Amino acid sequence: MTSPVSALRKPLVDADKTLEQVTADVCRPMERKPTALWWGALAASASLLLLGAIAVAYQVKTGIGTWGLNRTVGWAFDITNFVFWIGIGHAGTLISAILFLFRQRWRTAVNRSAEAMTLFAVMAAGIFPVIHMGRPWLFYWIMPYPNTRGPLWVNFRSPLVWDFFAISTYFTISAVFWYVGLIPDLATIRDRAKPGLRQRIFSFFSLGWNGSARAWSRYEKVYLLLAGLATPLVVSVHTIVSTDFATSVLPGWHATIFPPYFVAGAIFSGMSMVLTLMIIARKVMNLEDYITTRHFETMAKIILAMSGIVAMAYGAEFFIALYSGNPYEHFVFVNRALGPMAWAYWIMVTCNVLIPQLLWFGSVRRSVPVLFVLTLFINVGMWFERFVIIVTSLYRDFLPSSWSQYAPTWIELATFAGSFGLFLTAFLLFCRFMPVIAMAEVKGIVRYARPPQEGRA
Amino acid sequence: MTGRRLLLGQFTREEDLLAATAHARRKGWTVADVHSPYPVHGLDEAMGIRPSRLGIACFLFGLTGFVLASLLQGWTHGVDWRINVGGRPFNAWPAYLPVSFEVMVLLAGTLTVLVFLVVSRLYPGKDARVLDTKATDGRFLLVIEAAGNASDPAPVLDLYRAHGAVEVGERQVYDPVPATPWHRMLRWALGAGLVLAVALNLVLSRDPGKPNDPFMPDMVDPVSYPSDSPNPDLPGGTTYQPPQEGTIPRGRLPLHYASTPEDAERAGRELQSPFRSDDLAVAQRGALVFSRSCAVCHGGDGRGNGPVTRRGVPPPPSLVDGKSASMPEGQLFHILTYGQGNMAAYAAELDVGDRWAVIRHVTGLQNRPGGAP
Repeated sequence: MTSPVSALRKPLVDADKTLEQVTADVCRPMERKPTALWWGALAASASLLLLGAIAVAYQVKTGIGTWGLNRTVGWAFDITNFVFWIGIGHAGTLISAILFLFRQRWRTAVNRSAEAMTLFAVMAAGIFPVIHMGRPWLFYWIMPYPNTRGPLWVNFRSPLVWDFFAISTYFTISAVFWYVGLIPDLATIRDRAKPGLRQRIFSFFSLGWNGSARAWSRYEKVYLLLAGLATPLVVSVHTIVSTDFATSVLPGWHATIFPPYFVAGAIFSGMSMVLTLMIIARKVMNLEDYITTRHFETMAKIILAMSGIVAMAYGAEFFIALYSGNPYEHFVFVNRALGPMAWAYWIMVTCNVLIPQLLWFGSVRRSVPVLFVLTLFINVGMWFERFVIIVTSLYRDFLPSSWSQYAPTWIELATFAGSFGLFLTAFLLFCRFMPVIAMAEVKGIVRYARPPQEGRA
Repeated sequence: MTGRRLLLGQFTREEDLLAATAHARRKGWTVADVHSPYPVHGLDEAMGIRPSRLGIACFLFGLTGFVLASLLQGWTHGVDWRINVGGRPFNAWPAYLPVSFEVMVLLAGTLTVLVFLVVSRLYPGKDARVLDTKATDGRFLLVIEAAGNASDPAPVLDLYRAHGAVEVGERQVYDPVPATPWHRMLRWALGAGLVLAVALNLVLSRDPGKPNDPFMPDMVDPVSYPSDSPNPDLPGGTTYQPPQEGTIPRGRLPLHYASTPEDAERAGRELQSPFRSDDLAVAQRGALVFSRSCAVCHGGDGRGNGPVTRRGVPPPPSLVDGKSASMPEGQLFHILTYGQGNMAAYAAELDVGDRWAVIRHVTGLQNRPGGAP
């Protein structure tokens, strides 16, 4: 079955599959009845979503006094969760755009699900700034449009307005990119479906695609253009998120290192979340031939590199605090590592710097269960990174009389759980109703590093 | 309705497809199309498809987005909404770059995809006109139209077989596909719905005096009973309750005078200004109230030549000479409170303090001893 392969390169798909087998393998989970496992997972995540919805409804009705914020700590769980989810949402576009431009053809097996993950993560992220506004039904006031309030324009010099533009553009372009990638696969499913509702739905959304060479020619151009646009976009989004902090004058936030530090952190957390989900999905959906341990190994290497950058950023912050001679800067960082919230700092360092060092070992990178546990640690660590940046820079400010502490209320915890509910529910529905692997792209690489097929004539 | 005869060859390997396509072109046959499950590289050259010019469109859309966003921001903060943020320049263009960049990406990305869909004639619900469902699965479909110098199907099909086609065939297609009755009905229904909506919008009248239904009233509606609403819990069933017998509201000391000239003279004998004559704050307040409420008729200097007198309102007598010049303050207060002749009562407009303050201003204009400086 596995015929001799190229001496230089390894094939990207493990078994020697025909094109028809690719279609069948990817469509199988969509075409069979959902398993009990899927129903169970859906019930669990939908329950979390419901819990979150109730919590959001309660805090919108009552007001954000239901949170654990105080006069000193004005940003905490909400903004932490926002940055956490936005960071996770960076892997999809990284895989689909940046790796596309770098001609990393292994990306074809994971880009569809990573892009879907991006969309769902950005949705989950979007909840937090909107409810943080306090009167979420007026969220559209952040949009500049002629209005009857003056007209009252937004302040374009504010990073919070940049944020709105960055996040909404990122969501739109990610959704468009994802959909453009889906069109040929939707057509494949349409052509496999029996006449009926399913065929009609896929027929509607596949836009009349029939694989015509002229359409493919333009399609590839559009895909390249979108990748070229999305690459600077993905860098800009977390850069802009970091300016929410960096343009303030608060020690601990006011740092020029923030944009690259945040972008690296985003790729770090996004990649590990992709790994977490992919390790489960490929097992449950029997896609081990497509999403191979070599994929995991490559992604583990990216994670290791990003861990290095993040570790350097942690170190650089301390160095600058020392080197600047600024006593306030100095205090914030000593307090961050040794103060009453040092536990959060050391969780962050352990999960993001120490544990990923295991990835230097090839055996760790190739062991799927170990990798799975490791990515869970990174997910936790990256949440704590944002928590540390936000809360430990705030809770002991310039005036010792206003020093305070922060602890989340159950409303905040329920909202955070609800964001996971939204993310996982959406992902489960995606796995059930959409092709999780970009079939058209994988079909282009099944013969990669394999000998030419026997002629059949 | 004229049909087109298409000659189809199905291949399982892209190499065979490329060779067959190139061969057919060398023979001078027109390759109508190739349907494939993934983009076959080298096919553009083999079919002679020109490279797409979508890149130019994308560049122009991006440029438009960047320029429009920059102009909007410059206009907003340089012209329409000049707010001072920490003393920095109004037109801080480096701060505009993030938004300009995002709008550039947004327009370039979405509009390029839109143009791609338009030029490729792809739209939701379009009939894909699938020649063979295997073309989106695992087969490559070469399509040559049986017309011109390829009008004889036999050599074409032979060429397909020679290049390893696993299946060859002919297909008659009709162009355009006539709409089914169901589609026609849907189209009519949608069109009629649109016309109906526009017509109703024109015909149905709206009361412009009635406020719109609030989407989110946001604390506009009071929690308590409005004072003019019925109230089941209070005597008389009304929210507004008459004041208690024998009481007066705070700050509303009653004046026991009637609106008659006799009582005006009595007030002149009895009432005194509550303010000291050297109270500068009272004089300033009086000047302000006079300029707002009195000067429009009496004129800024009190000579009865206010702006409205030039538009036909009978001019009031001068305050600075004649009868008023020697009138006691208490009588002026009575006239201000109850009105006299053409002058309306100002009790509702000016509270007691303002009335005395404006009298202080008037006596100042009259240069009376004890008048305001």
